[in-house]
Amino acid sequence: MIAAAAAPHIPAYQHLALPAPAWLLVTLSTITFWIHLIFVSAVVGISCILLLRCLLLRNRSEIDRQINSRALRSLPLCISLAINFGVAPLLFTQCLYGPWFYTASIFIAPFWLAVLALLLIGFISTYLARLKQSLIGFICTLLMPLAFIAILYIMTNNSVLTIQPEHWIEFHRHTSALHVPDPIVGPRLLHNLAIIITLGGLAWAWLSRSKPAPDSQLTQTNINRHATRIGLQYFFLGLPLQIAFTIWYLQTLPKPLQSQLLHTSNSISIIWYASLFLIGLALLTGIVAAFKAAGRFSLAITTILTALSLAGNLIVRQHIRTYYLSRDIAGNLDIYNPNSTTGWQVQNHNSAIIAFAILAVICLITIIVMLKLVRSRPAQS
Amino acid sequence: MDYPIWYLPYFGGAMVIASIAIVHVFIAHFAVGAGLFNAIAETHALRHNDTAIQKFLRDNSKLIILLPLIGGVVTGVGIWFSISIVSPETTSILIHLFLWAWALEWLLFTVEIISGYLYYYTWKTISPRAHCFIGWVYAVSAFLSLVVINGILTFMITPGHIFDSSTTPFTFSFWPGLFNPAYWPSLILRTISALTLGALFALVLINASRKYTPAERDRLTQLAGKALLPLVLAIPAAVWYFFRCPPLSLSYLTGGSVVMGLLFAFALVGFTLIAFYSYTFIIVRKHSVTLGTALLLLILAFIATGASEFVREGMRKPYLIWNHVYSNGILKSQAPAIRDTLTAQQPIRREATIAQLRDLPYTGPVPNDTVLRFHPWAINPIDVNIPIVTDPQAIALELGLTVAQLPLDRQGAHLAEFTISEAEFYTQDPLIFANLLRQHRTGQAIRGQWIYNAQCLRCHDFDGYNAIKPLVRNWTPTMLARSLEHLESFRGFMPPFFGSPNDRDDLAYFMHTLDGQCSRCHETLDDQANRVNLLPITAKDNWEPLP
Ligand code: HEM
Repeated sequence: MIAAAAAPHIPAYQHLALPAPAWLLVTLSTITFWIHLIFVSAVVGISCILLLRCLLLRNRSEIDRQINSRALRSLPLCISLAINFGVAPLLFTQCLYGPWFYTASIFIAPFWLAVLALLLIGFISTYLARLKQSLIGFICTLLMPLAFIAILYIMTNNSVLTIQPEHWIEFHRHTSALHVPDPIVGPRLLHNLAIIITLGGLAWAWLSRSKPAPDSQLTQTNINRHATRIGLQYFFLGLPLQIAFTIWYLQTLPKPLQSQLLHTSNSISIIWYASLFLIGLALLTGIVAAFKAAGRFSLAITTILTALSLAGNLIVRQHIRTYYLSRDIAGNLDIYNPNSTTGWQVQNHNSAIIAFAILAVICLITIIVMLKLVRSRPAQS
Repeated sequence: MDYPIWYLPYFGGAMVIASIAIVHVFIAHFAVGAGLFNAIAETHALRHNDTAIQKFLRDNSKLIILLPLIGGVVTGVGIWFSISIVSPETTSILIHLFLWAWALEWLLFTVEIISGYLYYYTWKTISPRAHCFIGWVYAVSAFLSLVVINGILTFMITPGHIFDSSTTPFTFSFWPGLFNPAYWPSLILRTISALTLGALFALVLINASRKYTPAERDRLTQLAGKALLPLVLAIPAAVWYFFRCPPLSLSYLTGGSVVMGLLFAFALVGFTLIAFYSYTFIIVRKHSVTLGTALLLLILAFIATGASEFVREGMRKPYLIWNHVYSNGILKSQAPAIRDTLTAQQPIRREATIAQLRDLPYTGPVPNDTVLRFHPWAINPIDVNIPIVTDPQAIALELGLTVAQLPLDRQGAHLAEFTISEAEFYTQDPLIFANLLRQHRTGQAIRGQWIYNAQCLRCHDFDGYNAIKPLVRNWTPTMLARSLEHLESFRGFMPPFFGSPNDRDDLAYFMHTLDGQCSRCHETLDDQANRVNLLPITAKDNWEPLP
C-alpha cells in the first residue's frame, strides 16, 4: 500500500484501502490518544506521588491518610480508562502506520508483551497497596509507579522505533534490545515524564478530594485545600521540567524539523507556540489556584489549560511522525496523499462511519445519564 | 512473509496468542454472561422485593462485575499485542476491513467499564431502580460488544462472497462482512456459553457462602437454573454453525484430526450434560445443589468452552482467513505470483541484505539510505551461523583446505565468505548474493533457513511444541522435497509451499540438516581415513534432483 515506487515488490496483501480518510483517522487517533495520556498521567502521577508521600511522610495525619486512601482508590478506574483509551489510538495507528508500527513492536516483542505483565502487576498492586502498614502494602506502593514507568519507557521506545527504520538494522543485531540508540529517546522520555508529573499533580488535586468521614473533625474545605496544595506542588515541579525537556527534545530533532517548528509561521509552529503559551498561562492560574486551594474554579482553569497545551503537543507529535516517515529511508510515506504513486488508497466505509458517530452519541448520552443518576438520586435503603 | 518473524522459543508464536486468547475468551464470555445474569436477577429481586437476591448480588459484585472487567481489559489488550507481533499481515488486513467494527466495540467497552465501576460503587448510594438501570447498561453494552466482535471472528471462517483479496485494493463490503454466513449461529452459541458460565459461577458463589438460608439459596439456585435453560439450543445452533462452515473445515471433526474430533465431542457432551442436569434436577425436581456439584459444573463448562474455542480455531487451518490468508500470512491470491516471479525471493532478498549488513561495522544509524530501500519494514533477523557446518573439518574438506588454513574467526561462519570475494560480498545485489549462496551446501542451508523462517516458523519452532525436528527425523532430502511439492495435500492443515524448485530444494536441504544425525550417512575425515564407504559430504548431487 505504501512506497510502491521505492519498493516495487510489496506483496499484494498490502494493497488495503483505508476505511476512512486519513484526516479522520488522525483526528480520532489524536483525540483518543489525548484522553489516553490524561488518564495515564493520572495513573503514573498519582502512583508516583503516593510512593513519594509514603517515603517522605513519617507521621501521617488523619487528613493525609484520608486523601492518600482516596487517591489510591481512584486508580483502578483510571487504569481501566487509560488502557481503554490506549486501545483506540492503537487501532488507528495500526491502520495508518501498520508496516512501521508492527515491525517496531516485533523487534521489541518481549518487552511489548511484558507490558501486559506490568499492567497486571500495576493493577493488582493498586488493590494490595491498600494493606496499610504491612510489607506487602509497601512493596505494592513501590511496584505501582515502577510498573507504570516501565510501560512508559517501552511505549516511548516503540514510538521512536516506529518512525526510525534506520535503527531497525541495529535491532537485528540485538534481538532482545529495547532502548533505541538515538539522541531523541532520552529527552522524549523525560519530556513525557514531565508532562505526566504536571498533569498527574492536577489529577491528584481532583481525585484525592475525599468526603470527610462522619466521625471526623475534618471539613470538606480542609480536605480540598490540602489535596489541591499537594497536587499543585507536583504541578509546579513538573512544569519547569516540562519546558526544559521540551527545549532539549527540540534540539535533538532533525534541523529541518526544528526550523519548521521554530522559525516559520506555518500552522504547526503556531500550534507549537500556542501550546507553550498555554502552559505558561497554566503556570499563572496555577499560582492563583494555590492561593484559593479550597475552590474549584482556578484549579479547573489550570487543568483545562494544561490539557489543551497537551493537545497542542500531540498535534506537534503527529507532525514529527509525519516528517520522519516522509523521509526516503522510511519509504516516503504520505498518508494524506491517496492515489498518488504510493498506491495508497481510501475506500470509505461510510455507513459504518455513520454508525460509529450515532453510537458515539448514544454512548455519551448513556454515560451522562448514568452520571446524573449517580449524582442526583439519594440513597434509599 | 513481509514482517520480521517473532516466536517464543519452544512455545511458538501461535501458542502465545492461544494462551492469552483462551483466558480472554473465558473472562469475556463470563463477563457477558455474568452481566446478563446479574441484570436479570436484580430486576427479578426488584419486582418480587427479594432482598436476599439483592444482598447476594451486592455481596458478590466485585467478583461478578469488577474482576472480569479488569481481567477482560488486560487480556483484551493482550490479544491485540500478541496478534500484531505474531501475525501482523492478517491483523493488518482485519484492521483495515473492520476498523469501524472495532471502533464500535471500543465505544461499547467504554460504556461497559464506566457502568461496571458505577454499578460496583453505587449499591448503597443510589435508588435500587437507578442501580438496576446501571446494571442493565452494563449487561447490554457487554452483550453488544460480543455482537460486534462475533462478526469479526466468524468472518475469519466464512468471509463469504463479498470479500475478494485478489483485487487491488481488496474488494469488501462492511455489513455483509460483519454479518457473514456463520454469524448468527455463532452468536447464539456464544451467548449460550456466556450465560452458562455466568449462571454457574453464581451457583458456585451461592453455595460457597453460609450467609444465606437454605430457602434463599434455593431461590437463587432456581434463578441460575433458568439461565442455564438456553443450553438446549446448543446442539441445534452448533449444527447450524457447522452447516455454514466450509465443508473442508468440517472434515477435521469427522476424522481428519483425532484431537479436534475428541475436543469437539467433549464440548458437545459437556454442554449437553450441564443442560440435562439443570433441567432435570434444578428445574423439574427442584433439587438444591451442593458446592461440589456447582464447582464441577462450572469447571465442565469452562473446559467445554475452551474445547469449542480450540475447535473453532483449528477448523480454520490452513487459513487464518478462510480461502484468503494462510496461517503463515501468505495470501492465496498471491500464490501464482510467488511461484512465478521475484516475489518469492523477497524474504530471501531481505535476509541476504541483512546477512550482508550484519558484517558491516556498526557506526550509528545506517548511513546509506539505499541500504534499507528494498523493503524498509521487512527485514528479518537471521543467525547466519547455522550450526550444521560449524564443524571446521567439514568446511575445510569442502573447500579443499586443511583446518589450519581456515581463518580462525571464520571457522563456522557462513560459507559464502569462502567462495565470494570480500568485495563481491559487500557490493552484490542481495539477490545475486543469495543466489551465489546456492553454490554451496552451507549456502543452500542458509537460504533454506530463510525460506523456512518466512513460511514455516510461524507454526513450527525447531524444538518444543509442534516442533519440526521430531517431525522430520530420519527423512531424506528427497522425501522432504517430495512432500514440500504438495504440502497442502500431504497434510490438509498446512499451506502449500511457495517458491521455485531451487527454493524447495534448499528448504529440504535445510530441514534435512535439522536431523542432527549427519554422520549416520555422511563420511567424516576419520571415516575417510578408515575408508568407510559412506556418502561423501562433498558430493553435491548425491540425492535425487527434483523434477
Ligand atoms: C498505564 C500504562 C501506560 C502508560 C504509562 C502509557 C504511556 C504512554 C506514553 C507516554 C506514550 C507516548 C510515547 C511517545 O510517543 O513517546 C504512549 C503511547 C501509546 N500508548 Fe500508552 N501507556 C500505557 C498503556 C497503554 C496501553 C495498555 C495501550 C494499548 C491498549 C496503550 C496504547 C498506546 C498507543 C497506541 C500509543 C501510541 C499512539 C500513537 O502513536 O498515536 N498504552 N503511551
